[in-house]
Amino acid sequence: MINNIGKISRRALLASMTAAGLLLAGSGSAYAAEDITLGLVSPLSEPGDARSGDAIKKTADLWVKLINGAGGIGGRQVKLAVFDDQGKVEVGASAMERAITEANASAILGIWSSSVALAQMEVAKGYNVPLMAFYSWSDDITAKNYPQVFRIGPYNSQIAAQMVPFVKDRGYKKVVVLAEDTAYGLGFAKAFEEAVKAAPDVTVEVVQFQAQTQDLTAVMSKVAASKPDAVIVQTVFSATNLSIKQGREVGLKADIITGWDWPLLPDFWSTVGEAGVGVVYPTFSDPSLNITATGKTFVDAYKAAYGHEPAIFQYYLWDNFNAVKAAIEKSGSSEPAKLVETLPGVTFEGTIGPVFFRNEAGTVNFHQWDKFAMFFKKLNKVGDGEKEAELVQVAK
Amino acid sequence: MSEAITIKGLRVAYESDIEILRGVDMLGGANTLTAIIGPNGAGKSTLLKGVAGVAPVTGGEIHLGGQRIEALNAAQRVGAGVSFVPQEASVFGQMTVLENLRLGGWHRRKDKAWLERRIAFCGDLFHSIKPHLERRAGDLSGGQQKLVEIARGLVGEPRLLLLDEPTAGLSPVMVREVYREIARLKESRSVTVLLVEQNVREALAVADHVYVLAMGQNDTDGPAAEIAGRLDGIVRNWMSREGSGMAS
Amino acid sequence: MTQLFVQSLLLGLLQGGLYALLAVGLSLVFGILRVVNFAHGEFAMLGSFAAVFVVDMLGLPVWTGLIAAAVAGAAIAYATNILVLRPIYLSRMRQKGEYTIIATFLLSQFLIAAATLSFGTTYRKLPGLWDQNLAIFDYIYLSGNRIVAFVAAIAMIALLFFIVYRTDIGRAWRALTQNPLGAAVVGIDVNRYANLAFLASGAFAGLAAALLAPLMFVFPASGVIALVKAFIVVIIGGLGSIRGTLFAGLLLGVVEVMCTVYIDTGYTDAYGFALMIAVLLFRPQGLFGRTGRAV
Repeated sequence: MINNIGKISRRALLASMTAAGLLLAGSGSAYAAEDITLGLVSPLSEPGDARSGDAIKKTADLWVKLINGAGGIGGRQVKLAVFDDQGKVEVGASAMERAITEANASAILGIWSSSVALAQMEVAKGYNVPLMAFYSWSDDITAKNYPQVFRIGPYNSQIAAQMVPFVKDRGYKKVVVLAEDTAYGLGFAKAFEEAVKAAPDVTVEVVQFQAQTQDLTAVMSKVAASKPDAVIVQTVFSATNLSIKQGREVGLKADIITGWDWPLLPDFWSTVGEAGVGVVYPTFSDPSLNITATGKTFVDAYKAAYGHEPAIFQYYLWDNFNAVKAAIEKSGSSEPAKLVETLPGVTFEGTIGPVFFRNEAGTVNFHQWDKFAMFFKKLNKVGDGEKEAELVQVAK
Repeated sequence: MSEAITIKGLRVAYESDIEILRGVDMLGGANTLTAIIGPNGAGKSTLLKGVAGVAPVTGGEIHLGGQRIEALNAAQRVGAGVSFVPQEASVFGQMTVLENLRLGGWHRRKDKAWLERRIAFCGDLFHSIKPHLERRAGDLSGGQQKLVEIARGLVGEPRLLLLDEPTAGLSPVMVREVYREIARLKESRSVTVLLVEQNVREALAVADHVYVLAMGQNDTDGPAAEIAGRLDGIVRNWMSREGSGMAS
Repeated sequence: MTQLFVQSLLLGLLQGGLYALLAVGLSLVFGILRVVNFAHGEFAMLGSFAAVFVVDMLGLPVWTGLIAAAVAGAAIAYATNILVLRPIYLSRMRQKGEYTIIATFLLSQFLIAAATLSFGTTYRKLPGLWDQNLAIFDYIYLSGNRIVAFVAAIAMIALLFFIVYRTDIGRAWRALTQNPLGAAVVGIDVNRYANLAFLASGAFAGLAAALLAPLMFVFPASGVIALVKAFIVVIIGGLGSIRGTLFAGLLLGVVEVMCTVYIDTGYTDAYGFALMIAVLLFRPQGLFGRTGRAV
C-alpha cells in the first residue's frame, strides 16, 4: 500500500514536472488567444461500443460547434482532440496519455466503458488532468475519490437499489441477472445482489457471459431452463438485443428487463423484431422530465443536426462539457490543474436541472451528481419508441 | 511420335537469385536416351526441373521439336508432351495406385477409352506394384512408390521423359525392373529420354549419348561408349571440384 | 435437466454445422496453396451484407439473399487470390507463407474498415427462410432458421464431398493437397484450381454467414469472430481435411454449448480455444490431419 502511494506520487511528480516544462515551453506564444483543447477519448471502433462512441462524437462535435459559434469560452475557440479507445483497457489508457501529452488537452471527456475508465483514471491522476465520466457506471469510478475524476451520471449501486422496489412490486420471486463480464456488468450484478437483501423473498442468480460474444444461445438456454420470473440483462446494446432475440428463441418466458434504455437505439426493433415486445427498460428519460432551457437548446440543435432525438446519456455528456466550460470560466484558466481545483465547486444549469457535485469524501458520492429519477417503461408492440412506451413505475 | 530436345544457354535461379544453372546447352535426339551425369551440385536435377517447368527459368531456350516451351507453365509443358519423374516423392499418398495412374493421364482425361487403356498398360509394367493397384500409394514401400511414379509418368504417352535418379534408394530387384523398362523404352524408340543418374555405370550402359555437367555448366559430352572410355579421367576431375562449395 | 441436455446437444450440433461450413473453405485453400487466409472471415461478412442488400434494400425474396451472399463471397475471394495472393505465391521470394499471412491480415483490416465506411456500424438483421420460434413438444425450443441453416450447411458440405471425391476438380484439389510437386508433374494447373478453390471457399463462407445472419446480426466486424471459429475448427480437424473440418465443426459447436451450460456461462469462446490447445498438445496434426507430409 505504502509502496503503491510512493509509486503514484513519484509518477505524479514526474508528470507535473513534464507539464511544467511544457507550460514553460508554451508560454512564449500568444497565450490569451490560444485555443482550448478538450480531449475526447471514446470507443470509436470495434470491439469497442462504436455505436455509442458515434453518439458521443456527434454530441461533442455539436457542443464545440455551438460554443465556438457563440464566441468560444472567454473569447478562446475550443477544439476537440479525438482518440479511439477501441473499448480496450490498454488502448484507452494510452489514448488518454496521448490526449494529455500530445494534444495538451485541458480535460478528458467522452470516456465510456467502466473497465477502460478505471485504467484511464490512473493516467488522469498521474498527470493531474480532469476526467469527466457520465455513463460509466462502476461505483469505483467515484468511490476511489480521485481528485481528478468527476461523474455526471448514474452508478451501479444507485441503479441497483432503485431496481429492487421495482422487482418487489412486480412480484418477481426468482430473478436472473445476466451480466457481461466487465466492470459495468459484474459491478451491477454485485450491487444488485447487495441491494436485493432488502427483499429476502427474492432469489437472485447471476449468469455472466463474455462481453464480446456474438452468440448467447447456450447461455440463454441455461437461463430459460431455470425458469426465472424475470431476467435483468446488464450489458451494452448489441448483446442486449442478442439476449432478447435468442432468449425468446430458446423458450425463455420470463419478463426481460434491460440494464438500460438500449431499446431506444434505432436498431432495436430492426434486429430484435417480435421478441422485443414486452421488454421493460429503465431510463432516466421520460417526457415528464423537466428539460431546462439549456436542455432545450441541446435537444433542438441535436435534432436539427442529426435528424433524431438524443438519448439521455447524451444529455449527461452535454452537462459534462458545460461543467468543464463553467470551470474554465470560473478559474479563468484552461490549465488542467486549475480545473481539477475548480470543478468540485462549479454549479450551472444542466440539461435537466441544476448541476452541482456532491463531494462526500470516502463515499461513492464524491465528485458525483446524482439528481435523477428512474423510470421503468414497457414496450408493448413492435416499433414502440420512447413516446409510445408505457410507464410502469417511477423510482426517485 | 517423339521429338528432339534442344536446350540453349539455360539458366535457372531459385529465390534470392543464386543461379544453379549458368547456361547449359544440350541436344537430345528424337527417340534417343541421353544420360546426364556429374558430381553433386552440378545442377543435373535442376536442369530437369527447368525443362519440366517446376524450377524458375531465368534465361535460355528450350525447344521440343519445333516448339519453344521455356515460357510455358508446368501444366502446359505436360500438354506439350513433357513428363517428369522427380527424384523427390511425388506420389499422391492418400489415393490408390490406380488413382495415381489415372492422374498421369490428366491432360487427356476426356479421352476415356485411351485413358483406361493406358492405365491398364502402365499398371502392368512393374511386377513389384502390379498386385497393389487398389492399395493406397502412401502405404507402399518407398521403392514401390517410385515405381508408381515412373508408371504414372508413362501413362500420358510423353514425347519427352525426364527421369531424375529413378533408382535412388531402390532394392536391387527394383533397380533391375526399372532398367528393364528403360531399356524397353529405348528399344521401342518411341520417346526421348533425359536420364539423370548417380549410378554412372548403369547409365552409361543404357544411354545413347552422355552429358557431363559441373557447377551448373557443361563439362563435356559424347556418345556413351566414348564417355565410358574416358570415365576415369572425368571422375578424377569431379573429385577435385567436389567440396568447392557449390550447393545442390 | 434432461430437457436442457437434449436442447444443448441439439443447439451445439446445429451451431457446429455452420462452423464447419465457415471453416471448410479455409481448410480447402490451405490444403491446396498452403495459404493461411486471414481475410476468410471478411468473405463471410461481405456475403452477409450482400444478402442484406438484396433482401432488405432491393426487397427480393430471402432465398436470393443466400445466392447473393455466395456470389459476393466467391467474387471477393476470387479477387483476393488474383490481386493479393497470386503475386506472392508465384514470386520467387522466400517466406511466402509469412507474406500471405501479413497480406491477408491487412486485407481483412481493410475490408472491415471499408465495410464500416460503406454500411456504418449499425447492426442489421436478415430475415430467414423460416422466421419462427419453434417449441417442439414444448421440450425443444429453437428457431426454424436454425434448422434451415443446418440442413443447408450439411447439404453444402455434402456437395463439397461430392466435388472432392467424384469430380475432376476434386481430383485436382486432392492431388494439389497431397503432393504439389506430383500435381505439377502430371500437369494440373495450380492457378486454375486455386481459383476454383477460392471461389468455393468464398461462396461457402458467404453462404454460411447469410445462414447465420437471421440467428445473429450483420455488422462489419462480424468476420473476426467467424475467422476465429474457423481457425479453431481447421486446427482441431486438421488443416486440409474436409472430413476433419465437418467433424471438428460439430465437435466445437457441442463443446461450446455443453461447457457453457454445464461448466460456466462466462467462457463460451474460451472452450473452443481450450479444445484447440488440447488437440495441439496431443495430436498436433489435428484429429484427421496427417503427419509427415511428403514435400
